[in-house]
Amino acid sequence: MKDDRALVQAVLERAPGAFERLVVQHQNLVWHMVYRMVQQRDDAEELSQEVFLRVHQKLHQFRYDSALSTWIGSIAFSIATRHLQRKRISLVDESDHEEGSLLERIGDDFDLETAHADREFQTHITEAMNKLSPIQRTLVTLYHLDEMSLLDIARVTELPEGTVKNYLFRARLKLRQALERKIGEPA
Amino acid sequence: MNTSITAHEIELELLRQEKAEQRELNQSNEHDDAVIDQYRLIHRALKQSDITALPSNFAFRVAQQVQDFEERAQFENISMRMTMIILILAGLFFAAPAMIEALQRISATVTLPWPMLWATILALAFAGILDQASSRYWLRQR
Repeated sequence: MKDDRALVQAVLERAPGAFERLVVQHQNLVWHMVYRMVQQRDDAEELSQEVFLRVHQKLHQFRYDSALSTWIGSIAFSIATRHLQRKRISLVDESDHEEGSLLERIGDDFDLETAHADREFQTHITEAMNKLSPIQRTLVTLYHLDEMSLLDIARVTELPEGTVKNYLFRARLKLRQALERKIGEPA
Repeated sequence: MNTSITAHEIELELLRQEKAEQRELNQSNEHDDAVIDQYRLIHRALKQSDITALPSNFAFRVAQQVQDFEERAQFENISMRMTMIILILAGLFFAAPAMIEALQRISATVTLPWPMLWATILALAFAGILDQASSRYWLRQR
C-alpha cells in the first residue's frame, strides 16, 4: 500500500517514467483479465490500452481504499464486461448456476506426475478453459494465475464473495470433467 | 453417469477441491484420492497459463499514448485560452470607446461609491485566483 501511494503520487506529479512503471507493474493482471474475458488478441490489446488510459484519467480519484491492483482490476473488468455486452456475448452460461450433471468417478490408477508432464494435458486444459464462460475463465485466472484472494476478486468484479466461490467451484468441476473425458473413462 | 449432483456430492467435491489446493500448497506427497490428484493437476496447469504474452513494448506504447494525449490536450487548452484572450482584447479594442463614453455618462448621472465598487471587484477576483490556486495545490498533494 505504501508503494502504491508513492507510485500514484509520482504519476500525479508527472514524474518521468512513473506511469510506464505503473503499467509495467499491473499490465499482466490487466492482460490476463481482459484476454480471458474477450479471448481475441487484438481486442484484448486495444481494451488493455483503454484500461490504462482510463487509469491515467481517473488516478486522482483513487482513494487508497483498496490495493491499487484491485482498483485497476475493477476498471479492467468493467471495460471488458462492457465490450462483451456491446458484442452481445453473455458473461455467464446457464450451466454456471445450475447443478452440474457430470460428476463422475475416476479410476485409482490416475498418475499425477505423468499427467502433469504430458504436453497434451496442457492443451486439454486450454481447450476446456476456452469452453468456460467469460466470467468463469476470468475468475479462475485471477485466483490461480494471479493468486488474488477471494476478497480481492469480489472487489474487482463487484460480485459477492459467495458467488465468486461458487463460480470457481463450478469452473474447476467443469475442468475436471473435461479432463476426465479426454484422459479416459473411469476404470 | 449421474444426471444430477446431490448436496452431499457437492460438499464432497468442494472438500476435494479444498484438499487439492491445500496439498499443492504444502507440496504434499499424499495420493489417496485420484479425484484430488486431478484437481491438483488442474491447479498446476492453471498456474502455467498459456495466455498469449503481451507485446514486449506494451507499457512503453501506453505511456507514449498518454503523453501524446496530454500534449494534445495541453495544446488544445493553450489554443483555447489564446483564442479567448484575443477575442476579449479585440472586443475591448472595438467596444472600449463606446463603453468609456457610456460609463462616463452613467457616472455623471448616478452617484455611486466607485472606489468601493472597484475595490470589491478586485477583492472578488483575488479570492477567485486564490481558490483556483488552492484547489490545484491540494490536487497535487493528494
